[in-house]
Amino acid sequence: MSWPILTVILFLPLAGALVIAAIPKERRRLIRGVAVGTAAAVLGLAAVLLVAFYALPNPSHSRLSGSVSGQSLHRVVSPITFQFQEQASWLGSLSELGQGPSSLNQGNNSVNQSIPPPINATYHLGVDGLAVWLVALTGLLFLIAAVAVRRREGMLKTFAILMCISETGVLGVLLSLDLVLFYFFWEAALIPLYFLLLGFGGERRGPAALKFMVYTVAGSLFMLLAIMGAYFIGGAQTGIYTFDLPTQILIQTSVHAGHPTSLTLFGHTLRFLTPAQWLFLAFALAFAIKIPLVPLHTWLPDAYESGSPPFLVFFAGIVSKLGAFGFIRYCLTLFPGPSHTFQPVLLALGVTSILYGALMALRAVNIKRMIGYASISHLGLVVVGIFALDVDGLNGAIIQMVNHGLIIAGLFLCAGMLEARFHTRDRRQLAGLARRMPIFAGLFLVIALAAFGMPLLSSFVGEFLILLGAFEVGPAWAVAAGVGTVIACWYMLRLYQGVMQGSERVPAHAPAGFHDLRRVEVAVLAPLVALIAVLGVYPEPIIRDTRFSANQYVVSADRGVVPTPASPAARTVGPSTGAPP
Amino acid sequence: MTIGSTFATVGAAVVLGLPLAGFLVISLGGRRLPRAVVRWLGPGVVLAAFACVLVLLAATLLRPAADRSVTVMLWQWLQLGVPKVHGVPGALGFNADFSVTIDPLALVMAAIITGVGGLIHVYSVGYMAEDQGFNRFFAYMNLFVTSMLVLVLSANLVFLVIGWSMVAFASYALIAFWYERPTAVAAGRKAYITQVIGDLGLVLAAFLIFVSLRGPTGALLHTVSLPTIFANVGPGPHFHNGLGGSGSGLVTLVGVLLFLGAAAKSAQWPLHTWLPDAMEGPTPVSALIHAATMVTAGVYLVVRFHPVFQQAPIAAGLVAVVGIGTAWMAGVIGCTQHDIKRVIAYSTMSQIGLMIFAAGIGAYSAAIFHLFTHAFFKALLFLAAGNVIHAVHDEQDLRQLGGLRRRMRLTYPAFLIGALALSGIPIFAGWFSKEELLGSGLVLGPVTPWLWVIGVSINALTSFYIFRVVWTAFHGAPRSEPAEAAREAPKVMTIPVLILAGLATVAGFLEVNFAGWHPLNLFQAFLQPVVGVVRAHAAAGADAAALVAGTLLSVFGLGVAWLVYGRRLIPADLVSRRLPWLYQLSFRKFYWDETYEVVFARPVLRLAEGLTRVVEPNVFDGVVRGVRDAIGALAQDFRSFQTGYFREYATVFFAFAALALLFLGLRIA
Repeated sequence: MSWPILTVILFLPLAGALVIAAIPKERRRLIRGVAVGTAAAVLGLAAVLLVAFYALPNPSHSRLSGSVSGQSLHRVVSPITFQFQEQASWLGSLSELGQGPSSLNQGNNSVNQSIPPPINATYHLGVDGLAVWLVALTGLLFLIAAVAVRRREGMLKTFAILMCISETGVLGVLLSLDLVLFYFFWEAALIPLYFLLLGFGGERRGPAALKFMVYTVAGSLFMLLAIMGAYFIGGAQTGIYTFDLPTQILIQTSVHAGHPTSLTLFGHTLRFLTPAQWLFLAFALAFAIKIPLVPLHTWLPDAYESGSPPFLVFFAGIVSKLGAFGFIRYCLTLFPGPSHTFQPVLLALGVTSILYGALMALRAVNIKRMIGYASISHLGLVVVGIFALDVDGLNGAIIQMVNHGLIIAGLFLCAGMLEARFHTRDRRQLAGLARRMPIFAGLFLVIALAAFGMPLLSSFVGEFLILLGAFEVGPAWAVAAGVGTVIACWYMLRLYQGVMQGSERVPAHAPAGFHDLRRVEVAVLAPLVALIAVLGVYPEPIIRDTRFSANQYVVSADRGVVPTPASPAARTVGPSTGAPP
Repeated sequence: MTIGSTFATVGAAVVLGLPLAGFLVISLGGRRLPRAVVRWLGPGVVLAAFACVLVLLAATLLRPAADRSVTVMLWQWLQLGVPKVHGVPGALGFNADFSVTIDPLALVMAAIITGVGGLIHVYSVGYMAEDQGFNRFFAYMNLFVTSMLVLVLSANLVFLVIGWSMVAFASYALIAFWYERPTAVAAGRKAYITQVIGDLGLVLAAFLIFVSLRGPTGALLHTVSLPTIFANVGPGPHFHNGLGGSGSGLVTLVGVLLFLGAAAKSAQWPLHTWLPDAMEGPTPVSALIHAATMVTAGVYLVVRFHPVFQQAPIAAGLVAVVGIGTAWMAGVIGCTQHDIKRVIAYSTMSQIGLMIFAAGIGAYSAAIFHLFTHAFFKALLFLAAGNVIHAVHDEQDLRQLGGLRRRMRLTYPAFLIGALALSGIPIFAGWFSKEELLGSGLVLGPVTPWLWVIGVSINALTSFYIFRVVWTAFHGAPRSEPAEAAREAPKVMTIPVLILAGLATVAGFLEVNFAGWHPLNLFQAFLQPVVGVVRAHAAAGADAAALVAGTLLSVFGLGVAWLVYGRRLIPADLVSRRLPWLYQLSFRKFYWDETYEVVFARPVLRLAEGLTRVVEPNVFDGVVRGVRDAIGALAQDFRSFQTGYFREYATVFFAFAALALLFLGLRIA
């Protein structure tokens, strides 16, 4: 790609926001048009990116291995293959960075620490099989959200601007290959999301927005500390002070794990965690809050209950994936050792989330809260897949992140359509709607089935692979996660059947007479359902892209269990030559 | 090289593609599609698929017995194999192709599914003629046939699982077809959740096989291809072969998990409670799903995985005992039910139990043969019962029927043939298959004599409860106005019933060899390449004795039913007065529903309730609130935390960041 496609994708929504800001707020049609147009353009570019990524020659023969020059056998290649990379000076200069990886193996300890390190943070973008599909998902969900916003919506202009800004934030998180840049976008996405939650939605949105904000800021702070920690620890040992992710991945695996933190109390010395483990935990905390994992989840039901449906499409659809994305992109690569050390802990948290979320969903009567708990349950499964730390599990987790985005967005759209018609979120007040809303019933049924892993719908492949991966770690994990599937069938069927089947019942305060889906409603729901079906029947495109990256991340994480610091090259070149047959 | 693999590929693709196309056209066409089209399209695709199955069957029969199995790949579905090291082909990762096996077993199943299924589709055109959801009905029926064909044709464990779960969904959709009835909705959900539990068993078995199956060299195979699994599961040159050798814990666990899946599909204890409730669906559904096809999938699974069960005697014994136990229990329950369809449903559960028993003791061919004849006579019974229900305006209570013999002159003999075949009265199909099954039970199983005694006693129960239906529904005087006004069903419904009646009469002659009277032994010889030869007929004398005893017991049950309900010489309430506990046990279906409600459903809901009321607000949210309140109480200035202004957060953020920099900087220095 000769032109900086990633930068264009990244800043297009921001440009859209600026355009919208210039439009008078009375011109609602135009505002909505620009918002939809911007989102459509981003999706179009994301599709171009996807096709270009798919069309790349086999990743093992890509330009990256070509860059390994003959004379430097010690040249280290990043264990993760990033494509379409763009890099520019930002807070630090590029020239300093160039020498980074090659000097890694030469005299690590001969660094003069008296020189204050430069802030080596660059504007570095790139995608891999993990990010490229999430970028596409982002494009799709923001477009659907833009279409789903009604023109009558109060403060349409504000909503549109905030939505566009948050899209840039989310895309930045996915595209950045620099820790500072990543953190910048991570926080930048938070601000518009907070105001979107605060300004639009149900009656209890104020406290919900605050809770969300406090939670995530608390998590982010620890992550910031950890980023600093990685920077200084890595720098102190190797002399390379940089925030660049590919370089930092190499640095973190070559640094000495460090001594456990010790605490001397009354003459007894307690040893806890090594610095790397502290850093891992700080990152993990931020990501676990974002996902969220039980017990850090209590912001979610409130936020999902009070959010407006178009907001929830991307909030639940993509923002919740950022946590899982972070686990894969940052925890597995930067801290392979701790990833293995804490594998049982995270598996346990994942399984707890699956079962706890499922049980809470079983009990919930508020449809949106129920979907929220279902989301916790499903993302618990994703975390189980990630921390199975094998190819099947991780591949399933990546696929499932995309699927879950489609499914949860569809569920919230359905909930929103019901709420718009009947002014209720209580599933007990509705029954038997299928007879008068057959199109809605059909689309809702497909989404509900996909939510518990019906074969030939998208989530089956993901769930199957995750369970397989978990099974290979320990059958008990797979059994526990599988029980979650059974409960998921129970609560999803109860929701679908309760609302759509039986004899018709609508709340007394609902407007008289209701109709099946309008054309615009079909237009937002049908693409999701079609994708759910297509990716279920034919998962090859997504799997082709993700399996290679999944393998790379697993190999990257595996560096944590095999201590061979002497030959980092041999360990890390492996994955890029290991191509799919 | 005989049926070219191209031929098999095309054949399999057509067999699968026709019902699938029917489903897609009808479901996407929705209400716009005229009924006149659906009326022909729905049954048409299934019958055309049946014709195609017959062609495949003929092509298979033309070949030597040893060469009757062909596996072809239709679609490379998933390929996740990523080599770990350069140059070495990777074993890690998961490859799943959509391959199909065309072999005698698959063909028998496919013929039943499309043949009996096609007849039931034709019948449905009449039965559902008045229904609002005519098109939806045929869409789901075609989907069901497709799913079932995927299940039986698949040569890949993953696609077996996929077909397995698709069948569960189609069955749910058809049970809850009349979705405005709360009972139908609840029945559909119960059926589906039970199936998902079974699916979990099957999936876990698949994982176990995938993770631990070893090849001839002792290396892990990581395969989900059924032929490869079956070829390697047995004893081999290497000592690590298969799943850990005969009788090992691993292979036993695989067998038990497989059976969990089979039990859910085939309504065997402990996952049997969904089947009677499933009678809420339209009657053709009961005939197709709950008699001829879906419930037999469990039998198919056990027979298909017989190489695994042969290595796992404990699991196989469990299968046999559960099968015979379920058969007996369902027979007892069937004697006291009042709903005509429920009686037939329990008889299905009972007959499937016998097949499962046979599959457990290793009489695979006998199990499939009984499956084959059972498909005819049980579909016949359901469809004939459907005629009755149709004629009396959806009345299913036996106490409201009576005297239909004179009003339904075609349905009555058809039902009678079905009842005779089910009871195992000589010359009807059920007699051949059931006696062969029980006879092989006597000579094969581990504790056979005792299991055989149970099995043969079921004969008496069976003929008793089905002739109870015959006499109460068709004989005597009409006991309600609809029964008085009943009229015969239209031709489109009676013709399939009569065809099935003919098949239920003659199908048994395909296997005339039991007891060694006749050398002709078509069916067993046909299945022999797949399931091998049964080590039966060791004691022909015992076989013959078993045959006589079984037949006599069937006649005995018939006679008792006649005395009680025909001649009324024995009062019908004899048992309920003398042995009220026994009657209640049977009438209340052994209290399994209540037990599960108390043991599973309620505790789970209670737990959910407890989490919602106590844990969530007090523990998880409580901690958050506590932290917030503590901060609030700590200093008035910090109240601004709760105002939601971003600048406050920013301040805190930068303060912490600065602190962190300072701290880390100091440490490193």
